[in-house]
Amino acid sequence: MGELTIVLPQNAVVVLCSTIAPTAAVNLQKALDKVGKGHQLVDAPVSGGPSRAETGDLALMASGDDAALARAHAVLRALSAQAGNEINLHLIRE
Amino acid sequence: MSIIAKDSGIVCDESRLMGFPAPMSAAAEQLFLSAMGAGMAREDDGLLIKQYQGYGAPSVAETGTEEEEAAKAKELSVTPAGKPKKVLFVGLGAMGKGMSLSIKKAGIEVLGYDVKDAALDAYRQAGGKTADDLLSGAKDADVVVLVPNTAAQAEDILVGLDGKGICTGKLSIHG
Repeated sequence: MGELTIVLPQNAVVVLCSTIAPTAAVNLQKALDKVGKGHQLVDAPVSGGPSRAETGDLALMASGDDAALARAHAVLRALSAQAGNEINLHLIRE
Repeated sequence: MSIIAKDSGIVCDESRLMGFPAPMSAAAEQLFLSAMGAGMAREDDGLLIKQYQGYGAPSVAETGTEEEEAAKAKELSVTPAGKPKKVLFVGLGAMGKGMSLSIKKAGIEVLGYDVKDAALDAYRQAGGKTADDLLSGAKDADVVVLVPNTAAQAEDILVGLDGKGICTGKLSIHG
């Protein structure tokens, strides 16, 4: 369907918000590594349904490389902390 | 352990009398009973985990000093890097539409994309900006958010392997 990695700049962060198997996340990172542009995956499944998606109040469990989490942080907070619930965002070292 | 075994027995007995199914309590009672049978009657109920170690699981006992273990138990803290200049958001369905608009509301420049025209229309109606196509949307994007249904779709969007990639379960790895 696409080949985003061809166009994405060096060191772009890919935030994946679906619920997938842990091995799938590892495999996706391997696929990104093969491209050789420093793309990092942040595995970030969310919970809370469409109404909390709209208010930026999702529970979000993000794991990834420290630098990738740092670059994705503003986006992760936009998804989870806009209703004032700081507790929604959980960062996990992989 | 003996206390919780007794208490879970009371819960199961009462629910049985009321004709109210409590499958999780029933399962828990059996686990506590097995711990009792294994001689753990006087142990703290949290030590039920030792049962699983008996089946070959690795030990979960803490081995560091109090300071070392307290440091390990802290949630990861990361120094945020500031707002990305451009975000591409792929997947504007039930969850994606609201999520992408939330990113926009936080003052972050975001372009939305979806394969379905209806989703693109609904997103624009709600005030969002869309990319004409996936690749132009990805240009200069420091962060891409993907909300596909499966890992295989994510792999396809990222490296376009048309179902022959690592995530589709086939053994060959393309490169």
